[in-house]
Amino acid sequence: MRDSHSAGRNRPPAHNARGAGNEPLTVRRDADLESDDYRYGFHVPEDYVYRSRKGLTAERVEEISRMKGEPGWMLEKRLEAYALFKRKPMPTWGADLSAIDFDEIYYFIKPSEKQERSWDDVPDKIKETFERLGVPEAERKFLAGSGAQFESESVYHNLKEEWEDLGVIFTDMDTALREHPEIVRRHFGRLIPAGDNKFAALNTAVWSGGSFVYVPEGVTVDIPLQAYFRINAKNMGQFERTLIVCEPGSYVHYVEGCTAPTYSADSLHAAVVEVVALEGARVRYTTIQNWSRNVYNLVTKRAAAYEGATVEWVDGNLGSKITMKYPSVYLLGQNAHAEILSVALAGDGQHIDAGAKAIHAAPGTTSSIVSKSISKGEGRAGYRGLVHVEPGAEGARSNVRCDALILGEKARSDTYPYMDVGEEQSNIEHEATVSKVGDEQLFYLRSRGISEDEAALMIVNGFIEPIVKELPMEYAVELNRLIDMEMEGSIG
Amino acid sequence: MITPTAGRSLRDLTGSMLHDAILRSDEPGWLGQMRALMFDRFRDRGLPGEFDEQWRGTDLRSMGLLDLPIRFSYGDQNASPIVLDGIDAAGSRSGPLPWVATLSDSVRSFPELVRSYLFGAYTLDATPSLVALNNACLTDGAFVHLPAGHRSTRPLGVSFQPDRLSQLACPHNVVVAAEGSRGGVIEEFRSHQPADAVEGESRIFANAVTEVFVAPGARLDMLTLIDWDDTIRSCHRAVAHVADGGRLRWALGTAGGRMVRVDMEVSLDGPGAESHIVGLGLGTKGRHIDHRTVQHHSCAETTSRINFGTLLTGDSKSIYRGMIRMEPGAFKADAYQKNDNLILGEGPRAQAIPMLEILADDVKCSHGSTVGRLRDEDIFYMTSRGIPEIEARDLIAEGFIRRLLAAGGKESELTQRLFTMLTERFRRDAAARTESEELVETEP
Repeated sequence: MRDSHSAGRNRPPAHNARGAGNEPLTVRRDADLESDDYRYGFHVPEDYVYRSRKGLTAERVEEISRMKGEPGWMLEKRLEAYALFKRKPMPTWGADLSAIDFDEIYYFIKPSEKQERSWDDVPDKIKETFERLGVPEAERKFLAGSGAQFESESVYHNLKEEWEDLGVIFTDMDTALREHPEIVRRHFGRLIPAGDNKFAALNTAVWSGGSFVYVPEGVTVDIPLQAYFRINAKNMGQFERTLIVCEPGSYVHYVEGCTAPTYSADSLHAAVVEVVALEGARVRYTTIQNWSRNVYNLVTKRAAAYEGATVEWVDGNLGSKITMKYPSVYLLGQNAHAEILSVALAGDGQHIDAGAKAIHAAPGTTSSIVSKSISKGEGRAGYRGLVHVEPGAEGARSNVRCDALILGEKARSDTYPYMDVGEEQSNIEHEATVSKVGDEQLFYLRSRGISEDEAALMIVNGFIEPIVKELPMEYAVELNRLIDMEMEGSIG
Repeated sequence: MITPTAGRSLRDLTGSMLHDAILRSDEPGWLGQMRALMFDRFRDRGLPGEFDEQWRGTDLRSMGLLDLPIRFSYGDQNASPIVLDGIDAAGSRSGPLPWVATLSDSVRSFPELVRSYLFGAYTLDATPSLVALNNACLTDGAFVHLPAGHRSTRPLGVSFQPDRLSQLACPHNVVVAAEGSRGGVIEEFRSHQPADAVEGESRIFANAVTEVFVAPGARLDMLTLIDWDDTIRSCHRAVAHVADGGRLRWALGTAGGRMVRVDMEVSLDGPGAESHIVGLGLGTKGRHIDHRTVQHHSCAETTSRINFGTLLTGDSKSIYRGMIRMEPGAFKADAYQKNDNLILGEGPRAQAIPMLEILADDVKCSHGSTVGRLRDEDIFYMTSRGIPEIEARDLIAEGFIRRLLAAGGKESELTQRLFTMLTERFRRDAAARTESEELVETEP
């Protein structure tokens, strides 16, 4: 078992496991107080059987809002967003989204109705990965969606008290909406309005779950906040909505995701993350995603950095069938700074189109974007980014560095960086390289007795080292082990 | 020759009208058939629209192209806008001399030779719509052929000036360097502002196409020089195919124009093919300049380089799109792309989108792009030596141009000519600077 510090591992709960056919799911009710309903924070006004239905209509949106007991203004936002979702076209660029059938998707399932998978049904490959990564027994079932949620309750309680003393609020969005409606209302949908893109509209209409973090002025939160530690730990929702608000001079590091493969029966994940860093605040948001290979992961993540603030996105993309995700920072105040580190590994059947956006809208703003992508087998990994400098953003400086490693003849790597500069007193630079594992580098290592596979692995690890070193240690270790596994048989 | 169909606009032009015009002309059947096919293709695809990624930022549909009168003057010597410079090949129909003549003359004299190259840059299905338009309605052009093994000492020249009556002009040049040949070719596109031009008005749209074919082992030095007056809008698609062991050096300069769009695509089709492009887009006053380059590698051990820059003043807007694409067969290919955008003054806006699509693993591929202004230290270096600030800026801008052109290798007659055109145009436009700009410059 782990000690409390290594409990800094994010273990998402059982997720949307459901029956093989379309049989209606029944409500599970436990006799004691710790019922699932309570644990997930749902207020169920009456006892009824909720039939899961596919497809989305305005009535279903209303149902979602009603079941959550939301205030009227949130329902209004949801309905407006639903109307926008229907009108907005699919993107004409990026990955191939033509296989998404919006009518075949379940948009909302009460967590208490989730059926568990049997451990026997978990694919062998996933079991093997857990073995290799050293995932403890209890966590394995949880991760594979075949066990009850894994909670390190005592650890959580101690940390929780510390935060509460500081005035830090860390909970899930549903609870935040109930308990802190004024903060939520002030910021919800401001950075990412429903009309931003089709998937932001969808999320705004059917969002459920996600984190809410509020850090008061001048407060520094020492330990990274893990999505896992939320009061009801409902982490990896399909349509998660996360909101982080940092008052002036505060600091927080928020971590979501999990390096170990996470099974999800849902094929479409459209999350929205909004981060507000007020004057002098600093926020770091680390994500490692390793969704199963059936998932379409389409995420809109945006931060606003005010005067003197810093926002750092550390973004790891390992899984999913298709990922389209471009964490962005709007530098709205003087001398604000953005740092975006992105690593992507795409193998057979995967297309990861990731990147970063930095919008300089004030003088003295700076941004640094580092992207490392690896494509192997028949995978396709790409960088797509934007550096935009508004007229008036004097002294703006930006540096973008994208490197790509192609392993194997059939792999593909793309780079699509956009630079749009409207201010002459600025300095914008961009560099990109694409290469394979160098013959000389391999030879150097092999001539010292290291096998070809090991040598390639060392080189790949060196390639992504600038980003891995920014991760919390457990993640870094896990990521290295995962790359080790993925790389087997990649060279040759 | 096709008789003019005065007064018709593109919108009114139907396939049958074109067909009739072709029938009445003396052009060979195969050419007429190709024109008809191309016309259908243009009709199918239409003009590029706002959701076309390759045209983001340049709204072609708002320019009223379809309503401009079009007039075919193909083959009419008196009306031909093509002026040739170099060896006059009339009378030397065979033998080792290079051939340079109008397209219509070339079709008459060497139909099979022209047929084997004309429209060969794209397959029918891959022909972009503006190129299809040009192919259907081409208003003459030049055909240049360097015979196998030939070594030229002087560059050959082709110059196009739009005919003011034909408001949608579609010049089409074809340049062929046969096996083992060496030579230089200059193509110019120039115009003079009509005395009665109204500010901001634009009466001419030039939709040009240049096809370049470099055969195995050949070496070609090309210069494409675009020097428009302030009223013209133009699109130019320049496509080159370089065969095994062939080498292409291409210098590009664009100046003037109200809207100038250039697509320069080089396809390295055989092992050992090489290309090196240097180019500069001059954005002065309120121009909109849009450049796109493509380095396409489909074979082993091919090399390509592009050094492209823009120099921007006034209220100009520049977009640069650079694509390097490596197909799975591009074993040990090597490509490099450098884009530098120098902004002088507060008005200009620059966008740069250097892209890579790599489908082969054993390649070397990199690119770099910068957008910035002159360094204060550089200006101070000069002003502290008694050079006025405006002059200092001009000198440094010229240095930027010279350094860019030198990236292509040793200075040649072609790059020298380009340098002269660009610096003269820069100074001329700069002299017309507004008062407000001069006030800004007096700040330390």
